[in-house]
Amino acid sequence: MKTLSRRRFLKGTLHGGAVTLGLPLLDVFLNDNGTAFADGTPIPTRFGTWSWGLGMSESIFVPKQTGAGFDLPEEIAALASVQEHINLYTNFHVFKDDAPNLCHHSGWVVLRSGIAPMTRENRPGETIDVAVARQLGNATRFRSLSATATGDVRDSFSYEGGNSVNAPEWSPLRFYQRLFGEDFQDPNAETFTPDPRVMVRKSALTAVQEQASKLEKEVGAADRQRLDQYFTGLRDLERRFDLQLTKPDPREACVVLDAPMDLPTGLDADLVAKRHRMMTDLMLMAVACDQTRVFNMFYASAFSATTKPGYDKPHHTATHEEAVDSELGYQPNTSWYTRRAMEEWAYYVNALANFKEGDGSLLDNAFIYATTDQSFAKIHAIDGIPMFSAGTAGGRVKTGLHIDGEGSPGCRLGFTAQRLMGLDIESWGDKSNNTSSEIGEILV
Amino acid sequence: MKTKQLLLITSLTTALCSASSLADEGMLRDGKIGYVMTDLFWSVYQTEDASQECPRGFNDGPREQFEELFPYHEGLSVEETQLKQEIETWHPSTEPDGFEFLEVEGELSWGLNLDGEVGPNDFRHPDGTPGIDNEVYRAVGCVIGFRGPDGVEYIFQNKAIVDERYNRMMIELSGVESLDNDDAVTVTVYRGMDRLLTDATGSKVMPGGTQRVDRRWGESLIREVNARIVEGKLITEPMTDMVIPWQNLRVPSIQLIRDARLVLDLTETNATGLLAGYADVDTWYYQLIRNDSTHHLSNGQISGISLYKALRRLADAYPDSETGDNTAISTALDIKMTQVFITHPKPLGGD
Repeated sequence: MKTLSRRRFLKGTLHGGAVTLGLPLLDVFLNDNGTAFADGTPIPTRFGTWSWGLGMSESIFVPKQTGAGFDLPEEIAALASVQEHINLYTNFHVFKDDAPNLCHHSGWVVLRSGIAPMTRENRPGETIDVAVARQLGNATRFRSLSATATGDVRDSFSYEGGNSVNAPEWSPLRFYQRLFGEDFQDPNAETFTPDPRVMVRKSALTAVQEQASKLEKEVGAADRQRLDQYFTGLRDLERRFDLQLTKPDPREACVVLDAPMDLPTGLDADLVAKRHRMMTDLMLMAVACDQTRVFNMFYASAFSATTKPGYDKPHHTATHEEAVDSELGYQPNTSWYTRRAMEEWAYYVNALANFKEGDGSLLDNAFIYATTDQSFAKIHAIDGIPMFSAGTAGGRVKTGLHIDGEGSPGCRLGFTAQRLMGLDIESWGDKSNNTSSEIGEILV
Repeated sequence: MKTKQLLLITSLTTALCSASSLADEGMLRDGKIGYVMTDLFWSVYQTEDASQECPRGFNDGPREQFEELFPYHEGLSVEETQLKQEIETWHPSTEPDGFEFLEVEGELSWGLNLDGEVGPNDFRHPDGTPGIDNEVYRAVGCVIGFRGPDGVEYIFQNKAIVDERYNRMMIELSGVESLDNDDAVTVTVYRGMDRLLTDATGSKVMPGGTQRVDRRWGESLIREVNARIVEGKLITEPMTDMVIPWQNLRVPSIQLIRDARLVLDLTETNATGLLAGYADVDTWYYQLIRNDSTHHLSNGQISGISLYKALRRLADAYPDSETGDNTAISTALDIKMTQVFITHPKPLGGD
């Protein structure tokens, strides 16, 4: 029985269109350990990002101990339930060299793109998720997906470069419709019928491409470059159409959810948390259904305006206006916001860890890269900016560790992540952020 | 192959020798040395827990005052509340606002004896020198935003010096025979045009950078003054009116300091000390509120409305010829500079 291929379908025609009839997910599709499909194809590795705003209160965020079994100071106490699944990185630096320290901007831009921006409008390169998506995202319906818990479509840390921002999904209902609406093909459905609309679109696209290819021979170099960019987009569309015309592989963990209720706009911390959890659940189901293998979750923006019931200052305002309590040694209300962020980080990691896939979980086959914009937001500090990771990337990463970067570039984590995702790069980052040094302590 | 290797070694040796001789030459060349400003902020003498200078605590800011003024503001219009306060911020008066303003009550202050006299309102320097004139300190010393290490004014001003170029202020000493003692040197104040040379963090300014003099927009800022160096300390004569290009939160503005003088400890790589004189009150105030929105003022609990009244009340120089009210207030600024090589492009022809 183990010789049965997961690609084995019943084939025929329907209304003139090719039809393949799939089989439900059977144990025979998996190997003996449940860690790969029976034909040896490994369960795919996924890459995710997660972001929170406005850094930390160092004295109650950074553990005293490094390595395994590190202590959890009060600001990250909420991570107790996920400590075994994450790594915490502190004392890593973001270098700006000759660039200015752009408040709430330089920190996240460097950690996501490797380059210090010269102006606030400047996004100097593609972000890490885009680079990884080129490697991982070609076999799925969406090359990558982004979602925000803020309800604000402008909140994204994913961009192709320049001003080409990958807009996030901001409404749970819209996100659901995009994921599981009429274009969704259930990988575990017993039958598969190619969507005639997709076939028409693909035919039209092919015709356009043929004409465009002829046109390419008749234009100058600059126009050829423009056409090449255009064709790249067309090829991506064609790839997506091909995927939609092919019976998807069955996915054990994929269960189509009911459509969620939409939420009102607003940034009350409870509402943001609720939106974050709804978006997380949708996102992870999209991953489980293999709609994407690269996904970005945005809990709060760099200028986070999340509000606290009974307190008059939103998060960003509080970081600057609230005095450091001389007895506590930190800003209590500002810390409240960070603690809420850590609760949501724990929810996110737990959600991945509890998502069964094979003999393990989604988290076992993922690597999540979590960053913020400042270390101590009150003074816009970016030295010692904290980061997290979660997941073992298919057993290749050790977790449960606190790593002291000893002042080395924060880009080391992004570099490590890209290497783990199979990118053939020798280094990552610009100027002093450039690194070819992986964080070896976490590698198996 | 061997020839190429030999040439490479020779080139490297030459380059290393050149670098070595460059270092040997020192920063003082042809009697000149330049310094570029890296830090500048109002001198605020602080004790631990502020118990000496602010025994009654700190002043309230716009948000605290708003709550006191309009405890039931829900029923009032924006014009009656927020805009009313904004209007008073932008068109301040000397009339009382109903809030007690907490001035510095301590006896000690950084600064210089600007008028050569010792009066009852003067501070005493921590080293014991009497007659210190620094009424700006008396006004802002108990305002959180002006206190280090994390007051909003303190943070943003110094951040802007490294990040921006509009406020690139520098001095060039000429006719210098020794940085230890020289009874006659000339100090010229310029504005530079270039970014600062920093280490990789982008925060620490390194000596050895180069700055071009801004002979276009910076021409009107050039000042020349006689000075002397005594045991490594540069002491200038007063400059009638020194205009400091000031930038905070990306908004360009200026400070006008009358009778401005520099007292700086010199080394070949750094110049550190005070810039003191009389700040024009209106220029001082409008620099603050042009640079800072109410949000930023609130960050530092700075009520512009109350502070303006204090500045006018404490002003101690340059009386208005008609009203007799003083228009300038004594002050001192902590200044740090780093050695820089200054180049002089030709002035633009006037047309």
